Amino acid sequence: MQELSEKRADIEEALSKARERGAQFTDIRIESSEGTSISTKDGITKINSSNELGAGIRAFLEGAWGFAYTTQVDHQGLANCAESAVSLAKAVYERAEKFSIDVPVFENTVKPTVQRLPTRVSIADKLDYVLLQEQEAKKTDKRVSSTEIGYNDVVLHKIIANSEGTYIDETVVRSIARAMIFAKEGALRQSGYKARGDSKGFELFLDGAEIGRIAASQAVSLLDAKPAPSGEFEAVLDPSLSGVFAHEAFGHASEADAIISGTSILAGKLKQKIGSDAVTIVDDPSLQSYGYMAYDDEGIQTRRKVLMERGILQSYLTDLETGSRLGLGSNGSARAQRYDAPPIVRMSNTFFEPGDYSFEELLDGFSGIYFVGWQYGYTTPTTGMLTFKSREAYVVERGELRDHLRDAALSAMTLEVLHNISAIGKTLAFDPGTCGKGGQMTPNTTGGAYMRVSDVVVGGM
Amino acid sequence: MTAAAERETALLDVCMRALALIDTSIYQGEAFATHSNSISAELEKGKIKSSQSGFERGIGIRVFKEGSMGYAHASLERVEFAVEKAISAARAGSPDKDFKSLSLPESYSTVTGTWDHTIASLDVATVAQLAIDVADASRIDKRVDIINSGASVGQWSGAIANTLGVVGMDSGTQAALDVDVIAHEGDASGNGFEYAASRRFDLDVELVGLAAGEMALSSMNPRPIQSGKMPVVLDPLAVGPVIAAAATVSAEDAQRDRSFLTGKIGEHIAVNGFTIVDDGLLSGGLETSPFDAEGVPSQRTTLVENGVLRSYLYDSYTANKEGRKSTGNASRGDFRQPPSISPTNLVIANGAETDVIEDVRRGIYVRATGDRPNMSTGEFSGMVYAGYAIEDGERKHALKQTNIGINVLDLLKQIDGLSRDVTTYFGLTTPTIRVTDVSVASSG
Repeated sequence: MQELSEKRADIEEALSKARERGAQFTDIRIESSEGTSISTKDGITKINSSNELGAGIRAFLEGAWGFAYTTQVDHQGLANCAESAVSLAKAVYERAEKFSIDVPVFENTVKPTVQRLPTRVSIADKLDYVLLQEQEAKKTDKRVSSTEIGYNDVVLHKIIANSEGTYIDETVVRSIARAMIFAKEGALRQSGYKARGDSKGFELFLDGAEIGRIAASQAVSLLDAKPAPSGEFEAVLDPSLSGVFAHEAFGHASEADAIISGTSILAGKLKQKIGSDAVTIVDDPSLQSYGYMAYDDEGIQTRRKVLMERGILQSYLTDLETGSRLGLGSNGSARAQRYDAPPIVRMSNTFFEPGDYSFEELLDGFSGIYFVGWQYGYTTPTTGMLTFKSREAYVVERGELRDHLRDAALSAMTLEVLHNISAIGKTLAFDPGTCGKGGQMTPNTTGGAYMRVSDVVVGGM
Repeated sequence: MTAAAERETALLDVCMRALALIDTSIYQGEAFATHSNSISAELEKGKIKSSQSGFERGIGIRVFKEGSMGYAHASLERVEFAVEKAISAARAGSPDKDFKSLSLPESYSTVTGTWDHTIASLDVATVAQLAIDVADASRIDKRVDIINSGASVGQWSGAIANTLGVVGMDSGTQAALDVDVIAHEGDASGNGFEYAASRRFDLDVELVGLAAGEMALSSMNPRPIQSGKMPVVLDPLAVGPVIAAAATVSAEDAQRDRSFLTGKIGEHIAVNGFTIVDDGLLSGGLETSPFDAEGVPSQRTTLVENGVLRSYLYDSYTANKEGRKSTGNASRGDFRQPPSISPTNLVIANGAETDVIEDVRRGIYVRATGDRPNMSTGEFSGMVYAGYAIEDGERKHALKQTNIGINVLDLLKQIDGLSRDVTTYFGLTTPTIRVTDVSVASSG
């Protein structure tokens, strides 16, 4: 991993080559990564070691970006790649919308503070953790029919440098484990899911981290669950689902590229009151969690961003381009999946700030549907219509949990939900996840507390 | 394709060099190397935003020791390192008695329509022009605004070899287009999109743009409809996630008893008129190749024939477990991943109807849904992402907050109309399909 830090001279030369060829701004990201992934399906293990080295270079010319990447990370490879990036920008810049970008400069070296660096933990130890989760899942109940445990870690060393003088040398460590457990009774099959992930090393899994047993219990309990009713209901969302709302429905709409392209319901609403007093939503890459980064992929120092405060829209997520075009500046929200993709505006750790209610107080006198866990979902960006499929749900009558429900979906309009959130619980919980946008996947965290929302459309079978 | 042939040979050399490092008295090994080039352009609101070019070479090594699989990938400069990592991973894992062997050498069929010299020689200006043209073509009306559009072309060469003597080489090209638009009129707005991909340089820019523009205009002013059971017509784009996903079962899921179609081979699971085939040799198919990701010859596999479930999708591991032949359905995104089971090109047999909606008195037309069936239960419950009401045989207003729900086993038996025309989206060639008695719930 030392090798990257010795490339500064090659980087400087590639940057000046791009300047000579006519680029107004150039940046280079070099990434060296080493990772392990283990999957076990019903006792059959597959172990995958990855090792990558590559560079991505962007050249900017009057509103157009050229981007090229290479796996040849030496003096010649970087120079060629920089030339390609400039040629690409030159080939198309005449047909671009003209704007200039404003680039704050940073220089720093960031080392991870993990206790057990994954590259120094044996595969055998990682495998032991995975197999233990599998055994715990199988022990949970006789009806557990199939198990799938996945484990991934990565140590990612990046250099982010640009023609204005930025030079960031950052190492990030991430670990995650996921359990997907199936249960069967007669012809009925159900599944359960639990994940644990953070920007930590193997210490994350040393306190047990019982994902197998938790996912198995969920799968088994769903065997007796009923299909969901349909109609309009008052809802209580668990922290997983409220976190997904913060990310999927609200967070994506706050990304400044969507504001510029006219595909966000939040366009033109900055500083307006569009949510209830209970709602404060934050994106914070500097928080030590699965979506953590000290500097973004454009070399901008990250910080906590309050997107909505007590219902008032306070901020968008911006990168160099969108921040410059909107006159807001970058707030460090640029991320790329890997060296072979250009950075785009992304979230990191996105969450609701907790409120004052205990879970019991939220359910007090409540009749409706209580949703637990997220299977999948999507939103229509231009209208804000959202559909989330929960993992499980309960019918609640005057505060009492009644029927257990499977495959319950909820749908609503994002702007209406922001108004209809009447109460938020006091305990904040986070979930690690992977977010896809523009074909790029990034590690993210969503967070929330229990939350009561009125007027939600529930669909089932 | 001399240049491509040269690249194939060079990649095969690297694979052979990697395999020579594996002690075949202890391990079985496989090497898969690729070399790819791509060019793409992205527009935002009709103006160029970025252009990109990529060049990537890499190798993936799979090593088995008593069935324990180790995998490692790296760039071509670090082949020795990848082999070493794969071997140590195989040694660390647990043995698997169901693993019999990697695939054995067999002869491959010749595939057609998978390489286009034109694509291989395009420059960035031409690709950018395509993205501009498709954006222009979508502006069929003053009310239509372009959100973004993109065009990409790519070429790749690959080689695979294993320690049992399998050797395969292939090259291919692909071009793709996409456009996303929005229509506005007063407070009303509607979204439209369209994609197209081909192995040849034959994409119809006008048609792609027109489809997106028309979809945006017709999606304005969505309204709910009265809930109830009614006929649902599935657009070719919606057939993929609903019907094709349900009828395409990997042998891995079947063997682990995770699929609602487990143990149903030979049973009538769909109406007589329903036939779906997985065809890895389809001329010009997006997923066409002479061999799969393990070097097993590609083939044509009938999955459901006139309503009867005939086969699951197999790779060599799941096939060996049942003592049968692989169907050539091992697949991988790139050299970074070990193979896993996936369909190649799917083809649903067409029907005879020239207009599948003309006999629908009251129903809905589903253009797109983001939902999929729950494969363990067969239940499908999904939001209509884009769709329309059908009244008296005509397509009417767009739908607002509408859900459809049905068990897929019922759905396959309630298919009562297949169009004569077929459309290809993402490797699925299908007619438009009508299904009776689906629960539709609408509100908002």
